[in-house]
Amino acid sequence: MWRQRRSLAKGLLLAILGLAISCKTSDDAKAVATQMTAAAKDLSDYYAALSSLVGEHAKLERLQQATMGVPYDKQDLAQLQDVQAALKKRSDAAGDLADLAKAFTGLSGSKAPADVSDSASNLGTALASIPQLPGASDAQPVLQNAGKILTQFAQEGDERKMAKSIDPTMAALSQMFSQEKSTYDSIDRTYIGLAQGIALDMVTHNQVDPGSLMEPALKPFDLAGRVPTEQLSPGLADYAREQIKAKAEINIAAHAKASDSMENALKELSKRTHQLATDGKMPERGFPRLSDVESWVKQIL
Amino acid sequence: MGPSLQSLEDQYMLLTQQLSMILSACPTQTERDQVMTQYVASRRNYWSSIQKTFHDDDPQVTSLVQEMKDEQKAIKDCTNQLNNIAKVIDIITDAVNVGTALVAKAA
Repeated sequence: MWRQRRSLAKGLLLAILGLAISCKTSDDAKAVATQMTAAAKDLSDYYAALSSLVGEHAKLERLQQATMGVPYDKQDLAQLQDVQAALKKRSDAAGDLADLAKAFTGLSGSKAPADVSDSASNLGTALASIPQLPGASDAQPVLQNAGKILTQFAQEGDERKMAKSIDPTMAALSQMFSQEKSTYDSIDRTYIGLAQGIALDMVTHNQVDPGSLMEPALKPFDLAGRVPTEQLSPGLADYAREQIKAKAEINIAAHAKASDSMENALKELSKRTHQLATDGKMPERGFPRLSDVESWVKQIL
Repeated sequence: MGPSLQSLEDQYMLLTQQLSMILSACPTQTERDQVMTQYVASRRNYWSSIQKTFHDDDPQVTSLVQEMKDEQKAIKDCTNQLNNIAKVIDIITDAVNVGTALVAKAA
């Protein structure tokens, strides 16, 4: 009797422990999935904004042709469109990862929504279209199969295996971002640099309305500024040049901060996904803030 | 981004900053066209390099990167000699040709 009770108590304890471990793992997996959803969404938006910036660069080249006569033809446009397309592919892949991570978040362990399989398959297709991604050629078949496997793992409640299956993808996206980050910074710098060059030339040729510079003095009185002569006064022209240069520096710094934050977040997320996949737990709950990324994206899109 | 892309960015941006001043110093449309041809070549070199993976450890690329830096300095110096626009155009052409060689090497 005593032995029976002891055996029962032991069994109960094991069951409670097992449940506790299972619940803990579930919370950890949910935390990783939630963090991944947010970071992948920001990553997708970041790439979309950078792609949009290249589109704006194309407009600047067209403007430079109009104002300074610099040749700009189909070859130039095609070159920029190629870069835009490459960035859009990255945006799509990050968006698909966000969808997959979101589908993970919805998994309770007993029921696996079919969209996990679809999301994984979409992500595989998107990743396979990015040649620079480490292991890109293997991504499509692996992730297409991963969709089915993930569904099975989810049905079995094996979140560790689920994390294991997404771990290499997360690591590859993070690695690609770090490898290409300085190129993203360069794209931003040349956009601002070209805009600055054209803007300064327009000031020199008296093609800039300095109204906004006078606004702080006139706005409280509901008045608008007027330039008395055709030519900008040297003081106002200098003020306009000063503003162009100062804002160019601010804009470049804002992007550099955003790309730094994005890189750190991806590294952290990759580390946490790997931790969950290997240790079966991930106790970290806070996550690096991506407000720098979000505010830069908001400024562009 | 390795030193190759950085060199091409520096050249493209330096010419962007100086373009208006150099064009103003050109006495004829022929010279203006020559300057703009080199400017467009520099811009295209930059965008070509964005999509390519560079092998910065290649000694030939390293040597071209150093040459690019020397040419950048020559462009900066030559803007003090705008009265000799033919010489300025020659210097810019040499510099852009090094950039073109760099992009070809990295392809």
